[in-house]
Parts: sequence; structure tokens; C-alpha cells
Amino acid sequence: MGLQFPSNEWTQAFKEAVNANAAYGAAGKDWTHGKVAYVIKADPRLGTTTDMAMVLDLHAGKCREASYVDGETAKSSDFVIVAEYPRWREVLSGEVDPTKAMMQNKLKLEKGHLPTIVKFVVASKELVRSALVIDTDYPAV
Amino acid sequence: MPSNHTPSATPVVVEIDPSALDNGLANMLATMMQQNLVDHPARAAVLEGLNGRLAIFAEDAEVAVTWVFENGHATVHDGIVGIPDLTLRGGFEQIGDMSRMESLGPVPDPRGPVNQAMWKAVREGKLRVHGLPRGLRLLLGFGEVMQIV
Repeated sequence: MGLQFPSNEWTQAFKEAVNANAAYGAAGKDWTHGKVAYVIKADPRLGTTTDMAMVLDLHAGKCREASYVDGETAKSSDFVIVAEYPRWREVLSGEVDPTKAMMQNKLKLEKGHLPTIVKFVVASKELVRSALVIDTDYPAV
Repeated sequence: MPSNHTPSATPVVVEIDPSALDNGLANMLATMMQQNLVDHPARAAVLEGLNGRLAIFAEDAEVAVTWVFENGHATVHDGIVGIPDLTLRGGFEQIGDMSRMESLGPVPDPRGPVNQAMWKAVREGKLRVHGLPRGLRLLLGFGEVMQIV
């Protein structure tokens, strides 16, 4: 049985997966721009009544800390990316590329310096690709 | 990379047309342009010199935008609007990489790895540019304003 998404357990597994991803370590080695929050909009399919978020404290190709918090708390992160649950599922399961999802307005950068994100586009892709190794129970869409 | 242009005396305007408010590519490009102008104020002079219509179509993402440049006023619209002077068509990877192209001053650096990938995409037909050579100034100017390094 896999880990439930989203949850604190899944978030901690994500941290471990990021730190085990050598490609992310290489692509993100110059990242010193702070925390990144993935905010999942409230969704009855997830049993959530408020927005929830995974906050990753990324630094120099490693994830120093990861936390599963409410959406309000996540707003203090340096970069805040927001999407509905089905969109996160598509991106984190590898069905949709994150750049493509942003172009299609499925993922929205609500806070943060976009040129920095674009500069680290390879790292951003590897970051979400890290999730592919996590045995995940995604609630049905 | 510092620009050789002097800052513009006239404030430039970058806008998203109401038609494009839900267009992710339009929002990305407009945000990039606005933040680049804050980070590199001298690029306002480049934007001020741009005139014409530039269409960008990310084919596999099925999203298109048209930039209308007019004397320092840049507006991005949803879809293809009017008759573009220059059209870029390609995959979302190539469109997304455009702002990562390396430059030597105002011209592309042929040794840059992103540039080499872009030339390869052009040769393979994955990225197509319609409207050259007439639209060369528009292409180079847009590239300089959007460049992130």
C-alpha cells in the first residue's frame, strides 16, 4: 500500500526522494533562492476544506527540510505554486511536464521571481520528477 | 548580463489583454518581461524601439499568444491576433527555452548549449520562424528583453 497524497508522510518521502535524485542535485546545485511551496487547492476528494501545501526548503541541490502545512502558512515561502489537485497529480505522476502545465495555466506561480524559476527550469523538472519513485496512493479524480 | 543600452526616459508599459488573463503562456511571458525590466532597467530602451506583431505558438501545449509592440507599449493577447510580422512555432520546450538563450551583447552566442539545442530544433523543424528577415529586429529585440541571464 502506498503513501496517501497529500500528507505529511508523503511530503517526508518527497524530501528523501529529492535528496536521492542525483540529477536534481546537479541541476539545483546553484539554487540559493529559498523555499518553494506546492499549494494544493482545497478538494473534497482529498478530504481537505482548506488549501494545503508541501513546503520544500531547497538549498544547493538538496532539500534541507520539508513540511506539510496549510495554504496560509505556505504563503511565507519565497516561491508559491498553486494548482488544483488533479493538476498536481498529472505533474507529480509524470503525465504532464511542469513547464507545459504552466503554459496551460494549470500551475500558477502566485509568488516568486519567474526569471529565477525559468533559469532553474531543469532543476524544477527534476524536482517534480523525484516524486515518480514514491509509491503513492492518489485519490481518484 | 548588463545591457549596453541607456535607460529610457519614457516609462514602458507591459500589459495582458483581458482576452489572455487565463492564458498561462501569456501570463508567463508578461511576468517575465515585467520582472526583467525591473531587474534590467536599461532594456526599456530596447522595448521602446520595438514595433510590430509577434505571434508565439506552443503547438504541443496548444497555446498561442500575440504580442503587439507599439512605441514602448507591449500588450500580449490570447491566440493569433491580426497578421503577425513574425511567428514562432514549436514545442513548449523550445518556446520555454527561448529566454534561456545565451548572448554576446545583442546577438546569440553560437557556443551556448541552449542556443545549440535551439539551432538543432530549427534544423529538425521542431522550431519554426516565419517572417524573417523582415522580422529580425523584432526577434532580436524581443530576445534581448526576455533574456534571463
